[in-house]
Amino acid sequence: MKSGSETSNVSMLLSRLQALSRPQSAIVSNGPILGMDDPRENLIAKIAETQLPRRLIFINDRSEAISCFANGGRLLGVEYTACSGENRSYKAARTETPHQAVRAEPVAEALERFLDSTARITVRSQRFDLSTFQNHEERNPPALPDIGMREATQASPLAAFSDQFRTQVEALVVWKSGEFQVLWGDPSLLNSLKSLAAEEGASHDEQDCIGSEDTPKPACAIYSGHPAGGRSVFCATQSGAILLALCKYEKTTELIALWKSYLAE
Amino acid sequence: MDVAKRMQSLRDQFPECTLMAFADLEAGMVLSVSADTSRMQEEISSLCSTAKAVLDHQANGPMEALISNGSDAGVFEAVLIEPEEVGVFLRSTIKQSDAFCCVCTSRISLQRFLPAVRAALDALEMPK
Repeated sequence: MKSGSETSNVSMLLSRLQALSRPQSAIVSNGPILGMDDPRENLIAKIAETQLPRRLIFINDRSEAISCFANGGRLLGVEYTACSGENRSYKAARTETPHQAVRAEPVAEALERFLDSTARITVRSQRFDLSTFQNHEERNPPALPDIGMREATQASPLAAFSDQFRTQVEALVVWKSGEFQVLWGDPSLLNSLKSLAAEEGASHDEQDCIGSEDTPKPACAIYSGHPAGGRSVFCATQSGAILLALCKYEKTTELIALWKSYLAE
Repeated sequence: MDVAKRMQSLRDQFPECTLMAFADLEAGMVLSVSADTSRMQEEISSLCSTAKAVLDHQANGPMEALISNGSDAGVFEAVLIEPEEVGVFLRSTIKQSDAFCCVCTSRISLQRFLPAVRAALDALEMPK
């Protein structure tokens, strides 16, 4: 009898240990909203109050995300998805306080972009395995400075112009030379938009190779679905870059007006 | 009002529209034209080919997946903006082989022009 009771306790203990040892299981699915009075300070406070190993995922209203790996009130590293869609990570120095780590470049620059014109930030918290994170960091040295430099040298005028579209569209991409300079919006729509951009990009490359002069691509084309409930795809090309934006049918003429003002500049 | 009169009426209302054609996309033929000056047949035919190219996007492709509202798939409107000219192509929502093809100057107000052309096309297809 006694041994049966012990067996039950041991299996319960084992089950709890197994549950606790799962490194990536989410403990909060829909996170709370971060205070927006001073989002940077609130973000730092969130890191400082995190005592167990947690990955804090901050998501803004453009669906961009920045993950902060925290433990013992300290920021261990930052991971974010660059404009190219690639995940990049930064490892904080052991001596840095959350204040210092968040204000150090290049994290500060990434946060600046993340917080810019953001009205709402939600926070999700996940467990993570400290040893896995440390090994991962050793294999992947800080890479944020590379991203910053690449954007500064290659960003097309269309990528800068695309900022004006963000309040009007559901998703947008800017593609140039085989890579995405901007990926923004509803993730469920982005994949189709990316496929379309790759298709358009391939046709442009082909045209460049042939050097066809008699069938020039228009600088801007808008394709719309059914006037009742359909959407529009806005497609602009400039100097080899392609901007594709998806919006509600009703927003089409507003995008055209923005494009015309861009041309007039 | 027949199609020729409707196109003339639209062009009177929007003088920036220099050429308007009513086309049957299935047949690949322009059935009626209204223009500020007489145009070469090649120009008219080329307008119809452009309309087919921009309105007949590949079925089940990424474009269709993005713009469809569920029941009504396909491209119903296309606007091509070039530095000097704007091309406007509208497919009827009632008889999908019918389309208006328009060439306008860059000064056209698309905010007013697009609904007006759509209304004219739909009125044309309404059962009498």
